[in-house]
Amino acid sequence: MTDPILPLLLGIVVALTALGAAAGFVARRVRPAIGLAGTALAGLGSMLSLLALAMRAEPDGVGLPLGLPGMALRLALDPLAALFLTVAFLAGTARIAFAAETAGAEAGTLALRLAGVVLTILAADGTALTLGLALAVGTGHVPKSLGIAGLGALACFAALALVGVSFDAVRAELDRSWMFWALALMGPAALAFGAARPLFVYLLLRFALDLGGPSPPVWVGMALLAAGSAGAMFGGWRAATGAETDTCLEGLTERQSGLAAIGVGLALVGKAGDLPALTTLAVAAALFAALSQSLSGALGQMVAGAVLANAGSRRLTSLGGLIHSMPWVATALAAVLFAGAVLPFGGGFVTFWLQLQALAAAPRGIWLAGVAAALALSAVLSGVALVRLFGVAFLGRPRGPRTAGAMDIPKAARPGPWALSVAILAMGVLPGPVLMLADGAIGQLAGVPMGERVGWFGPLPALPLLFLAVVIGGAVVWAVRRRGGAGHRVVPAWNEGFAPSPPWLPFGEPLTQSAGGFLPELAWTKPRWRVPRVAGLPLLLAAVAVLLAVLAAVR
Amino acid sequence: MSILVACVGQLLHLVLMLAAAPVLTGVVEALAAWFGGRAAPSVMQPWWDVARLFAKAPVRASSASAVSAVAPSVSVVLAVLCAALVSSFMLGMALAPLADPIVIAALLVAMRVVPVLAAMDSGTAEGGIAAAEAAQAAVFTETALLLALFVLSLSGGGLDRIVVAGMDGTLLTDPAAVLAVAALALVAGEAVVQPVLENAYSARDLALSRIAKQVRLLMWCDLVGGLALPFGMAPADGGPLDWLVGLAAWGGRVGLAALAVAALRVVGGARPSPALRRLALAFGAVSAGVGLL
Repeated sequence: MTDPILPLLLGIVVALTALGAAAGFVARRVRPAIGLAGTALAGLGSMLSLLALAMRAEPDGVGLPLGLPGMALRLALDPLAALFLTVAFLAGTARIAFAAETAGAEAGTLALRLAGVVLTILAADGTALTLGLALAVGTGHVPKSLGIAGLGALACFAALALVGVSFDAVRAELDRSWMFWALALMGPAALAFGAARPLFVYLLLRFALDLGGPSPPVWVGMALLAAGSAGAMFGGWRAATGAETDTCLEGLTERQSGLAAIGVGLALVGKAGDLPALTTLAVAAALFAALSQSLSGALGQMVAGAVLANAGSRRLTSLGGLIHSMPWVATALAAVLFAGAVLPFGGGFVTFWLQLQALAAAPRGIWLAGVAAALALSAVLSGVALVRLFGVAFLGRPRGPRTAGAMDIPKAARPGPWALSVAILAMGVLPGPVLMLADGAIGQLAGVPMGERVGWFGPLPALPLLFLAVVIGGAVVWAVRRRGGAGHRVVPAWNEGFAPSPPWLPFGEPLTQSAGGFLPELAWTKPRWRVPRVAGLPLLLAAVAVLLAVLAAVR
Repeated sequence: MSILVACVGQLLHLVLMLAAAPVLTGVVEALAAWFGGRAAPSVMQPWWDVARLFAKAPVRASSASAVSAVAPSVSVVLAVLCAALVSSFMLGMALAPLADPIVIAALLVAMRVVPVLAAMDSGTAEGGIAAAEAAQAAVFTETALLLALFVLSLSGGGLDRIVVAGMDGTLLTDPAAVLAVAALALVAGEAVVQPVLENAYSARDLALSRIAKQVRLLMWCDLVGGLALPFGMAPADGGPLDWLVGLAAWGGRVGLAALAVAALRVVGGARPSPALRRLALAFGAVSAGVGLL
């Protein structure tokens, strides 16, 4: 059954690349068609990969007669790849559909980027990986530190292409050199500071757990635990203190990357100590964090883009009251924040719960307490981020005319964010089925799948609790209808006796609506580098070309 | 038969929680007044207040959104759900398999997030400042809460098994668990003294918010009392006599808790001191350190 899936996915990659390349040259009136075609292709891809995942398709590989002499591209579809492909295509479908209806020119770039991400995930050798990464990182949403980090990542993976050409060859080796581990950690780490955080987690899982062999050295797990704890805490802190919507949402994905790294670190500790129960739980936690991060990261970028375009600002202190003018965007943001925080029935809680279960199964040591403290603090910070970002930007009164007159996203653009919001919320309520789909990948990476422990109602009782909450909620509504005072009156907000604002302050005295005082911002967690967007793709493609030429010459 | 007993016990527990919650608040207020040398109100005063407020139509700010309309009901749902999971007089209630300590921690965190969002909803100065203060406090107390409940869950199993460990004395031999219970008691002390952000509410909304607050207070007393003084709790397979003993022991525990809360209010004032938060975090962190060593 797998046989036709991989060629079809390859066809989609080629078509997406062609579409993305064509988007730059076609006339403006053809652009909606490009968005439509991109959405259709990505949707087809998500269905195909979901099919591969649900059917538990056998791993399949293919060698392409492409590339430099002696360096033919190798691609493979295994459970891990199928899982990440499903999520990447799902997020990509929603983003391309959204971009096509809001900013037509971007749909092409997104198609190109999706092609890069898919190529990276399907890659089964260093060359294909490097090419995919170049495409994905180069066309990505440009963050502040992309250039340096992206180049660093590419250099690392290009070097990997030199060290072990095919992944199968790496797997066949008995011992991994320190060079392998340095590359396996440094490459993804460089990506973590850049744009492609979901890819960072994927590569970490691929290198550390799939290619890393059955008995990795303990120091690798410890290094990942330390880095992951730091990432989860500082990401959470940035999310809770950022001055702009983008910074806060980026902090949340950074936090989830940290959580995934903690999961991978725990899994490595479990493998090194031959503790299959720990490894399985830790891999499940890392995968859940990664999936949640991919979907909520994509939705977060849509929300941040819509707020900037329609409300005119990124700064929290310039926004306010957007829930009245942008209810759709507010709902999507609420889904992102709810999934990020550790609240009952949310995806963030599932990750947290799985991680604590893994910690409980880990060999005791004082380092474990450090990880537990980092997890707890980061969980609390994600709650503060929820309250602050949603409360300051979306609740309360508008702080300026542009915010008061903000328009919601157009009707045609709503299905994308809506579908992603539903998917994110469903992950929190139905963790069992999600882990059932991921069980193939868990088995591949951990050696032992979750098996019986997951099901519709397992491993944690989210669904029965939700049912109880609904019953209690129904009782409360019934009591209010039956006995409560009918209706309600609407009056101007009581502002502690503050005088009504004068005519020259139509949005009220700014001092009467507090936006600060939450937590202090850590100066050194602010981004420092800003790379102009135009420099990204050409720079990276040139670097890849040079590296590949050098590699070909060396051979 | 045992399923039927578990269900009857669960229902009785829930009714007890809902009926006793306002009375407990009344007792605490009366005791606090008595300690402070003032004339005490009736212990039924919170009951009457809630009943009177519940029948009135609320007034809402024009700048408020649906968040403050649903927040009071959501608070009640979370408080009742949490109270249903934390056992009061018997073990082995029908919902005991769901009473995972981490789930309870998440419910407690959610119970703090909801009123803070509602406070920011109408865009007033006080709501914003109160939300910021609550966020600062959360960094200490909620981290301590998560760590303490995680340490208690380390032995594996739900809340019932931890209470059983307390009854047969094995909990006392585990220093990490003792420290975790102490941290939990400090978090509870901070939580029950913390003024609930209810300036945005009126009438029916205020009544719902108060019900949530009262149920939460009783739930905290059950949780900390059950962990610190689990004596007399009826076993899962107990008979009517065990239940009576369990009810009496529960009454004693809640009475002691009421005394402690009233004393805390009189000594510490209406607002929790930052020292309490730091102490809670210190206890939580040390318990995690000891528990995972």
